Amino acid sequence: MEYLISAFWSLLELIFFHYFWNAFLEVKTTKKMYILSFAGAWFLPTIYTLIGLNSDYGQIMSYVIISLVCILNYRGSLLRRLLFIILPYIFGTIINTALLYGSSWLLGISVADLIWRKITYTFVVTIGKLITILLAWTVFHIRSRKKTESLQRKWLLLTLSFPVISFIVILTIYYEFRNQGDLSLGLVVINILLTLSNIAIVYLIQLMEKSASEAKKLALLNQQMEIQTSSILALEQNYRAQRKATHEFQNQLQTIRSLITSGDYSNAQEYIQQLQGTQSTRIFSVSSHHPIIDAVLNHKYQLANDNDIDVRIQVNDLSGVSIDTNHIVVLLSNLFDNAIEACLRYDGERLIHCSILASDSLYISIRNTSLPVEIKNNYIETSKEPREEHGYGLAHIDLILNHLHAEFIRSYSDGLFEFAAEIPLEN
Amino acid sequence: MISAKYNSAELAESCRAEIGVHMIRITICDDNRPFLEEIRSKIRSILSHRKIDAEIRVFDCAEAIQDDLISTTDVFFLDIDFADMRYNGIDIAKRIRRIRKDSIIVFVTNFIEYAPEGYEVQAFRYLLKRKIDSTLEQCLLQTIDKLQTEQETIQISTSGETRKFPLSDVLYIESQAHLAVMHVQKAGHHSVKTYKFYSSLSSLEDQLSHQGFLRIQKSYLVNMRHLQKYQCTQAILDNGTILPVSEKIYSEQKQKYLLWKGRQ
Repeated sequence: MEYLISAFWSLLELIFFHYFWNAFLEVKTTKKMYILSFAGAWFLPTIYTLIGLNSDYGQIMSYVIISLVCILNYRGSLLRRLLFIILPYIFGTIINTALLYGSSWLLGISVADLIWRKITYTFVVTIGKLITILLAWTVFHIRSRKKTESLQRKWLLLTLSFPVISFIVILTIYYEFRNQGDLSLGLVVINILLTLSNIAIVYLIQLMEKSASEAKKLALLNQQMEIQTSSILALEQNYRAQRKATHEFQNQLQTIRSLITSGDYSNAQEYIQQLQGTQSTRIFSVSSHHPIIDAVLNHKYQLANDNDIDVRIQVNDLSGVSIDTNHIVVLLSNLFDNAIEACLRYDGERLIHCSILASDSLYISIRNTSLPVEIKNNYIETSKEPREEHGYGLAHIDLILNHLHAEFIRSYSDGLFEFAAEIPLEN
Repeated sequence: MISAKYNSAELAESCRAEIGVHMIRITICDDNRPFLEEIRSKIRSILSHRKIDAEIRVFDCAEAIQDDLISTTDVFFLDIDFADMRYNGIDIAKRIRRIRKDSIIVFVTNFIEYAPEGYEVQAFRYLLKRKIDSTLEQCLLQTIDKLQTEQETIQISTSGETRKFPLSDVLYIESQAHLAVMHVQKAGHHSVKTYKFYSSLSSLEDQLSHQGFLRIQKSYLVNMRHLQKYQCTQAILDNGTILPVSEKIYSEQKQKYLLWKGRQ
């Protein structure tokens, strides 16, 4: 009977962890894997209890297994996951301790005596665990679904220290209680105060993450503005060059007309041949029927050519591409800027191959020669220092691609960096 | 008649992809006669230096290029802007594509303009006339590489005989019990023929994965050249065939497909 109750309490704890973690973290495994790991986390400690393992070892084993379940099933940095492994333990312990003490006070007996009253004790502990589930469920439903972490490592490390210390204090209190055989009001108050402080820490983390997220959005907006300003300046330069070319063309036509009118045909022919030899690169080299994409590509094509980078572009009719202009400008500008930057650092042949093809989806591919890059989880670690402030271009690319529900891949081999993405287009 | 149960040596024989380049047939069309001769001479020099046989024909007007010649030419070098305003290089390319879809088209021009029209005729490269000295050789070598890829074949033993098929004609290979079933659609034809042979899909995957084939599901190995749409629920080929996909491997395989597409 005791084993059944213990197994039931384990199940309630796992439900509590499930709601708490899902309120703050993003699941990364399949549903099947998730259920299997939780089943394992429930089953293994139950076996330990059945085989009569020392309760302390059993408890440690339980902590380790629960920690592994969180690490395996949820996304995020290890520090962040560690934080959200320790916090539920603290909250769970405090709530149960407070309930135990409150019940013992109501009944006018000591906590130690309450534990001996098996039915009452079972009832109190079960209610305690149900309360923790209710609280976790409430937090799960109240919190927004955004679980992407924006907090820098150093801040996470600092905020983690308080829950860790709290956890150690609570464990110490627990062992004190075991040695003394009872729980004093003072210790219960300390537990409650620690819980409240940890709730404040969780709230602080949320505020800091929100602030970091706002800072990223602001940086993205600033970059969008910079790119649009630079695109407008490039368009203005192209317009001026076009006006100049038109003006020069009028002068050239006038010269040819004068020569022909005066009968000087051989000089007219020579002049025309001269002109053919000095024709410069056409200003507009890309014409995809999407004026914004053309503006960006033409600008970047010129920039690349000015830096002796061989550029090949493949486009089909992009007039039907309905993606938000800001997104497309920032995406293509960042992709091309990264490609140009990589080529400039490369000693060998500098080339950029770009394909932008629209059908039911928009396919974008950029391949460029490059020095070796480290790609982890489809992300390039920035080489610029300080790292926290750079890498925004790459982060913006990913932010936009994720926002557009794109599938994408980065790859590097044999001196060639490749990026390819497919973005669904709304019909 | 399906051949008897195979052993591993027969397996190696029964499905072997081969590559090779016969003599290259090149046609150049440009209304600038001096430039036409110049580029012919350069191409001949580059190919003979590399001991590659080639037959080169030159034309200064598009109308002189017969359909018979188009159907046997492997590589076209075309100017885009012609003095005769009735046509341009894109028009010539469209005519070429109506007759032959797999020939390689290189535009040689004074101004490069990347536009949908170039994509529609599957232009392989654009070369600037004023940079022809520095870019022609590399372009030719890439063209030869591409030709080799297009001419790759797969050899199988089916119905008691050994047959060879261009890889580009293979739509997909399906696994049925212990047999592999190859679905082939010849270029320019609508009908799809199937050929059964003994082979495991895994060994075919090892052999053909570097030649543009992708395992989208346990029973399907698809030629990415013919893959029009690849989603988590289904894959659609360019002839309308719909195939099931494996959800488990979809993410990884989709990434391979995205990278492959960018390399074409």
